[in-house]
Amino acid sequence: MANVAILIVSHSERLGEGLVELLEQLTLGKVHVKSASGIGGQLGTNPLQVAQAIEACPPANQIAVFCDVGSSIMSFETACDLLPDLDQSRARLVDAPLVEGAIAAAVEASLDADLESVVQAAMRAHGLRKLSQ
Amino acid sequence: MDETAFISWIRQISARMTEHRTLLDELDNRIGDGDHGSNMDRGFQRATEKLDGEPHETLGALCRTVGMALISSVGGASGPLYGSAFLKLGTSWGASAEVDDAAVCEGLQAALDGIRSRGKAEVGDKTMVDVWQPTVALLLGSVTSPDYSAAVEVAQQAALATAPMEARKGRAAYLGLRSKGTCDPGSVSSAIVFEELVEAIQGKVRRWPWQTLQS
Repeated sequence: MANVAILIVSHSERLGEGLVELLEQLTLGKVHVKSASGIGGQLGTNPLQVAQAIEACPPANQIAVFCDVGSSIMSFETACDLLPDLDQSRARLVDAPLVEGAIAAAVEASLDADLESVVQAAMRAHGLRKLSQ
Repeated sequence: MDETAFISWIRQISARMTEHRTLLDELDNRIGDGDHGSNMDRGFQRATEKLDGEPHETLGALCRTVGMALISSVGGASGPLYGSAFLKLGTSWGASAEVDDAAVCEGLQAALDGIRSRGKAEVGDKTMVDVWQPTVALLLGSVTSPDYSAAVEVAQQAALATAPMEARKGRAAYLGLRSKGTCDPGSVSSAIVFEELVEAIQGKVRRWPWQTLQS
């Protein structure tokens, strides 16, 4: 198992699950990838669900967290307040685009990188061009 | 404020969120994502269900139940924001079964601090802070006993005064100048929360006709 787990927090359950599907295919099951997205089948995020997902990550893992917009970030911060210090300190919110950032992070994590390298890889996704110039 | 008054406050908020759900959704729809009324209605319904289902011995425990119900059921930003407010209120009131006016005001200041640290908004950003800040300031500024009726008026006017502001937080900020002209829905729901707080404490509150904001 890799050193870093990936957690997706999106307003949309389907967006979160879809991204997890994509990341699992890319990492061949070597990385713990989970989504805590949507609330009761509706659009929104649930801090308690986020807190539970962080607690459920393998104990030896650090966790890179990717949010979509606005209140998903507030939900992550609220989740951290609800968690014991140990779990709080192993989860880090990554300032990166949701899809491209999570893909870069998952690939890096699958190579047994540490959290810092995973975060740096995700943040490089800000400058990623899709089309050749 | 004792436990009976607190429970009555939360029940009244719930009833009024149901009543104003369409209005708050509409305000939010103009400048955000359109679910503030539905979210608040769902959150406070959950909160009253939780209050019904569990015995409580202290005001702090009641506040915590409400805060956690809001955090886990609202879904949007108002969940963590109102949730943090009630959690801080609970910490402030602690093991008391009843609190005096001074403690009510101190608790509201703690709740405002919770909202500010969670949302990082300042006065003028077109958020609920625009209502909470002047209302709590007026209550804390009283030399003798707090003037709750004046506080309600301040809250109502502050909510109405968010209409010409340009949003700088949340999804409304994407609209920039186009967010002008509509009252911030979180400010309107906050004014309603203060109306019902004062009704629970002293009764005879003069409620603003919020429905007139509906198009």
